[in-house]
Amino acid sequence: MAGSGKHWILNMLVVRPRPHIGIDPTKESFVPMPSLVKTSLIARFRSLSLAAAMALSMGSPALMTATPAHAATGDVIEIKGEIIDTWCYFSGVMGGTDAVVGSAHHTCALWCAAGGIPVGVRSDDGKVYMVLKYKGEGSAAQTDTIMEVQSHVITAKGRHFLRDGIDYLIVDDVVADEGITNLNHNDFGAVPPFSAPKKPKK
Amino acid sequence: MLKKISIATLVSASLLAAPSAFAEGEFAQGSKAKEWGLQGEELATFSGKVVDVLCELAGDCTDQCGAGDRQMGIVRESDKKLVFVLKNRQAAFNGAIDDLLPYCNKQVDVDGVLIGDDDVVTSKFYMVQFIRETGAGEWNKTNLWTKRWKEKNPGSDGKGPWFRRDPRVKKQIAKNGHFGLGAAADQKYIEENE
Repeated sequence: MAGSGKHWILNMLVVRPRPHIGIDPTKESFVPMPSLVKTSLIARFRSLSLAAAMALSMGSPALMTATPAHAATGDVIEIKGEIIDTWCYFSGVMGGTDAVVGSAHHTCALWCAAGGIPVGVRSDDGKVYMVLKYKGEGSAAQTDTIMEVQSHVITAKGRHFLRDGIDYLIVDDVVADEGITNLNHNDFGAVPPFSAPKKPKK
Repeated sequence: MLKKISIATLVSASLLAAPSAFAEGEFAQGSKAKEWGLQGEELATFSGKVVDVLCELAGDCTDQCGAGDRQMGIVRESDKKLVFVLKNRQAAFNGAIDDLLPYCNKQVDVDGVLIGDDDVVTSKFYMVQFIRETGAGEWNKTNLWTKRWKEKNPGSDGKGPWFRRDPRVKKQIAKNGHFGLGAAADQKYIEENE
């Protein structure tokens, strides 16, 4: 585990500055760490970002039609991207965004999907579409369907909704499944380290 | 790749990660939520209506907000924004659906943290830590997930946390390994990191 431990530390320092990683590597869980720093540099400009987003969204037909409940049918789209664990991706709890995707984070993505945490499709431009339905099933259904595609790169046809700055996706059909293409465990090891494979006990 | 990272880069990253002031969000007043130290974290307590997000966005509605199969959110009373809920208060990969489901289509007060400061996704997501029906006195902790998991998986008792014993997780790891690349990739990793 020495190698993965080194990568773990480097990831937290380098991949994306995360001043407040909320994980205790000695425990198999997320751990609140309130004594650490709370807010990143980006967050300091949150009000500016939100203002800009609101200004942009004023001209968005998708947003305008989605605002009233039950009002939208969604834009039909085809999108290619990786199925990701959105909690670890957005919260920073496990480290930088480069490390909480792909093969490195596959087991943790399984845990989170089984836990009912929403999955997303992250497209190449970095936009994340929160998956609400996947091939006819609610994305939290207690079946194997959503589990089978964790960390896979898929091309999906579906319906897109934008509401209050978040993109949502109903996946109606998967036209291509390339499997796991981001082999980042070679760089980061397993993220978190306690998700790594272990030598079977004799 | 990592070997190419210079000392200067490390120093720069460390400086960027220096302590800064906590940003108090517009919904922070009165919050008793626990701080987790997450990306873009803001304490947030507010009132709103618990909704099935598919129903809210697409008009695809079912009884009982999908009865656990669907993601849920809260339409905030003050600004009518849909707040997408990613997580409950538990610290073991648990979502919030089981904690929100009893309040389907009801008015609630919630307390928790908004998180995220992604460059592309401009809104924040929510971790709900406490919930009560509006008008009720006592807050309820959002920790129902593991209780519901035990009810759904009666044969999965044993040592360790739920995610080590979950049949769906175990099935995938048995089939494709910890990296999703097959048993050979796991074995190679073990040999290289012993």
